[in-house]
Amino acid sequence: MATELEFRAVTRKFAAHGKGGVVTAIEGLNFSVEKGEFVAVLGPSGCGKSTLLGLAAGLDQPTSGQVLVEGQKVRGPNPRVAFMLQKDLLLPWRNLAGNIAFGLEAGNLPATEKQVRVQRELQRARLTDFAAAWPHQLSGGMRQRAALARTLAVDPGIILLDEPFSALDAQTKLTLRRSFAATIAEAGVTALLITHDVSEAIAMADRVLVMSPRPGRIIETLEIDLPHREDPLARSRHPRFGSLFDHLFEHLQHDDELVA
Amino acid sequence: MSLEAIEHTEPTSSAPPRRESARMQDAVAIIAVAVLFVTAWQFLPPLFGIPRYIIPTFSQCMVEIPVMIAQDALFAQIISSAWAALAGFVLGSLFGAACGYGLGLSPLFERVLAPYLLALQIAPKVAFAPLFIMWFGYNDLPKVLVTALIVFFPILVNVLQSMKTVDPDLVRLARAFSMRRAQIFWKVEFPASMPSLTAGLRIGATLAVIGVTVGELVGGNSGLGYLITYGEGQADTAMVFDAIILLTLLGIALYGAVAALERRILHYLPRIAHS
Repeated sequence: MATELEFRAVTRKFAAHGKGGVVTAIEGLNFSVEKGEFVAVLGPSGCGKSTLLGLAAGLDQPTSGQVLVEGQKVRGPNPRVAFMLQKDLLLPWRNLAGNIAFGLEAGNLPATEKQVRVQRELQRARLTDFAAAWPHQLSGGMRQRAALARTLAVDPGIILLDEPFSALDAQTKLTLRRSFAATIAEAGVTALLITHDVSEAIAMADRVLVMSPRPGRIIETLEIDLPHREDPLARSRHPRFGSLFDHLFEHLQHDDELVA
Repeated sequence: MSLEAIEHTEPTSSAPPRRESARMQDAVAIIAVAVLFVTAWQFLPPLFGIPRYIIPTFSQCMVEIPVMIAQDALFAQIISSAWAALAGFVLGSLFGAACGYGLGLSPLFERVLAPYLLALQIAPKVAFAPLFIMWFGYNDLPKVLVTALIVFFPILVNVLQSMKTVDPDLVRLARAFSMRRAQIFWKVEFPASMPSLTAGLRIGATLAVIGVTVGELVGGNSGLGYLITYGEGQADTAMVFDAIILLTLLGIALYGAVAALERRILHYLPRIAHS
């Protein structure tokens, strides 16, 4: 299997505001994500999860170590990597089709190819009927689906999902997880999900990495060998779900005590 | 299908449309206030023995208008003021917006120029009118320039503010999609600034009439502001009143045009889509 994303001994330090000190956001981070794999990064808030995303997307450079995408060192924004956040970041002045086309406009795709991609993603997100709708006319769940469609439209090798469900109500969260899992399985894209929700990580991922509080390091790796990755609801009813949950929860708890 | 059913909710923020009868009531009340005001204007000054050279009545002001049309080329004066207001407004808006975007794109320039911009903003712009007349003479140029100068700042400030408050995550998203700086500006920052730009334009529209009036008061030989000084010299208070009313109507027309433009540009905002 080919490696899609790899972090090699990555450390990122920031100048602290005010005191002239240095904050180490992540330290000596080592992990890799195989092609087609769905990996969840689980950690408490402030463990450098968003730093990790910025580094993988090429928006930020490590202080030391290397980030590789498809074997190439990341030097800047890269069309093979696309991300989406908790905020849908839809442009209110564009209709849904226009928003999905947004990422395609940086490159030199012919107009017809853009059209085809937008139609493909509208269909995959089951939003074809809403192509001409304005973002404010849509529910939170539909807006997040549109954001995923925009992310997939650029045909990335890997998508980075930074807590995409955390701003939604519990009901919408469940349906949207199922929708995302099905869409990602269908697109066959590699995914890195950043979350602080243990059951979300188990329900959706092939593998879960647990990060420590700042400075973020990986303190546990857990293979989720449950069936039905494309259906998180079915997975969460699996008899072994509880023991996996307890195992991960214990690691998070353990670390909380260390901090306190 | 079940996903659609659960996730699809009706458009948010759609306040129930106000009933037609409530709207009618408002309209009746607004007209009633106008009638009350005009009646008081017509009958109270004579009642208190106030002479027409202090407060002319409503009917005296109305009678004065055909006189002004015949003797003072009122239509030409209105056109002169309207043209200057529009020209100054467009000129000031274009420069204000251009400087706002320029400074927004260059934090260094913004930091260096900020104190001078503040000073210029505090400086009373109308005080420049005599200066412009000394430089450019007794023609239409000084009043257009005063108007442009007054309109310039609110638009610059609004645009600059909006450039500084664009969601940084939107810019990060555009960068992650490998967009160039110019693309980020035209596809994200410029459209994101539209609500602030149009808010600035609305403020500018109300200020434009002030600029024109001052320009004409100080050294004009045409326009409604000139009629104010002329009427003052003749002790023709009704003429002054009429000129003030017409200048106000001019400002309302300009503001209305800008507000209509705003509704067209910002059609995608729920606040406007549902109003």
